[in-house]
Amino acid sequence: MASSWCWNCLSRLRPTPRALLPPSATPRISSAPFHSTAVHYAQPAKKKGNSLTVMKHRQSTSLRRKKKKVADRGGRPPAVGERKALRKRIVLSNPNALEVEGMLDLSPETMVDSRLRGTVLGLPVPMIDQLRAVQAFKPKQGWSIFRRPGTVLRRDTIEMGRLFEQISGEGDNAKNVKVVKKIVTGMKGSGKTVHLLQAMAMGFLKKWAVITIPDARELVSGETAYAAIEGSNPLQYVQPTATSALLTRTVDANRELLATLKVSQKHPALKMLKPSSTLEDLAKLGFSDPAVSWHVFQALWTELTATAPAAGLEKDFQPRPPMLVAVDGLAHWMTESAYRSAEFKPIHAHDLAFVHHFLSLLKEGDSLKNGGLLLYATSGSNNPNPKALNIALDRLAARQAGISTSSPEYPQPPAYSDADPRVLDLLQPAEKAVSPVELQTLGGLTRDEARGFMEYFARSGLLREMINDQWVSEKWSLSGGGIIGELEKFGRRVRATASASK
Amino acid sequence: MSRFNIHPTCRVGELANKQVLDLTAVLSEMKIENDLRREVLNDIKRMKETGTYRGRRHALGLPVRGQRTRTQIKTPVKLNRMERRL
Repeated sequence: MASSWCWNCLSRLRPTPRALLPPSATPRISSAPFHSTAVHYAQPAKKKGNSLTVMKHRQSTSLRRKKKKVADRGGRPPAVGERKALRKRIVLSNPNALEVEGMLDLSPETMVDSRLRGTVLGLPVPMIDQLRAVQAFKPKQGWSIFRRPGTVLRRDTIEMGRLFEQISGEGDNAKNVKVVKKIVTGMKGSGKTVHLLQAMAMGFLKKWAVITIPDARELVSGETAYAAIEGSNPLQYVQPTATSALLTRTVDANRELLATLKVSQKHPALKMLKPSSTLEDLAKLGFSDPAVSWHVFQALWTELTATAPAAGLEKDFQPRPPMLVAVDGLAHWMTESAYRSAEFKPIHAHDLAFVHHFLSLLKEGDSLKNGGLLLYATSGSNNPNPKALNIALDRLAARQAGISTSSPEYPQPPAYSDADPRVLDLLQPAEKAVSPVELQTLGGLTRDEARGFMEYFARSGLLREMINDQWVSEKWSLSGGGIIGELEKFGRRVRATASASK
Repeated sequence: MSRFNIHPTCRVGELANKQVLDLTAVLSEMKIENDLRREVLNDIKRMKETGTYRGRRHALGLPVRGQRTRTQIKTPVKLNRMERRL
């Protein structure tokens, strides 16, 4: 930065011999006693007025900005719902990705084949529509980078496949397991939602009835209609629109199955139902008229859990298949909902009849009479983190580890904490009873599985690396011990840098 | 709204028949719209007729509730007339 001092002025302090100064053309003007420039060095005065810095009188001195003209993009703003549709769009195929040769499909044989552990199995093409109908795919998952959707066969998947075989009464290790109730937890990105997807795919393969709640939050966030059930004590609330949506999902996904099953029970609440109609017709009653959808759902549930026909309806009775009930984002059901009662008190999520129905399946008792699997998953990314559920899950884990409820190691809510007693009671078995619910914690993949998974990226043309043990080991460690969501990021990140370096 | 079990993001088209009927029943008991306007105008008229201070201020187009009148009395000037606008 130039000094504001003129060196000449300073040098003037010392008497300078006149002869040393250059001869000046301008006549010497008697200079002001103190100034910053020697007169004969001064530039000729500029004409004023052309500079912007010249102050005009009676004008604001505040910052003046040029207003940017908003570029007219042309066309109208997006139509109602268009942006949401774009946000929720699910792309399942990328024609630029290579087709993986020799990729097997998920089938009743491959899903229990432990030799295939660590390979990625494609989802059968005809089933994709069914999986879409039950909203098994989520928008943020990486289906859109591969040629076709596929999931990795990990240890938990094979175990689940065996469970499906046992419940269906097939396989060589058919034990008398009828109903299995599981809560699936695990850290973020550990593949809980995809685990549910695999369960649904297996359910469709085994021709089970598949009922899913893809997002538990939607039922408690105060976004769908609700109405009190008259005469219920404590007061419960139905959600007609959400129930209607559930029926639509169920029918779309299980059309083949429901069309073959006939009504076998009496439903006094549904007078418009003909006695010989199929379950598909029954469920369709609830589409058009949300007012009856809750009754329709209850009727459908009694039909699917029926073990014997009612008197007079024995004709055409077929045994009902086992059921798969999958709920994603369980934690949202463990707090107070966003709904308010008529007295403007918050309604607890357990007071919503819909939620209550699915949570009561977790309790002891034969809730699924024809057998089946309950899979209730928590979510790592969208988690309200209710204290009571965390304690309840810790207790579940402790009981599973053999810690008795009277031992000091048994998890207790912190003193003075306001842990919700209703939630704590929900997962608490009666005295000395075996807990009906299992806790399944999904961890990372093993190194071998991780290698199979990364090879799938490479064979799809997304990952340009030599996949060897050392590289896989490094990525396995960096992904927190094979957390599959993190591994997927490595597969994607390399793709991004590879395309950038081109 | 929760009194009629109407959720926060509800649209009018989504209301069930019963909810519409309940709402109408409650609204019909309330004094709203022109009835309420008439009541307010009547109150002001009564104050003017009885010659109260508030009535006079209404008639003069000045603030009624003790505000300063040196500045910022646009709203009373606009609204407080002999024929009061509402």
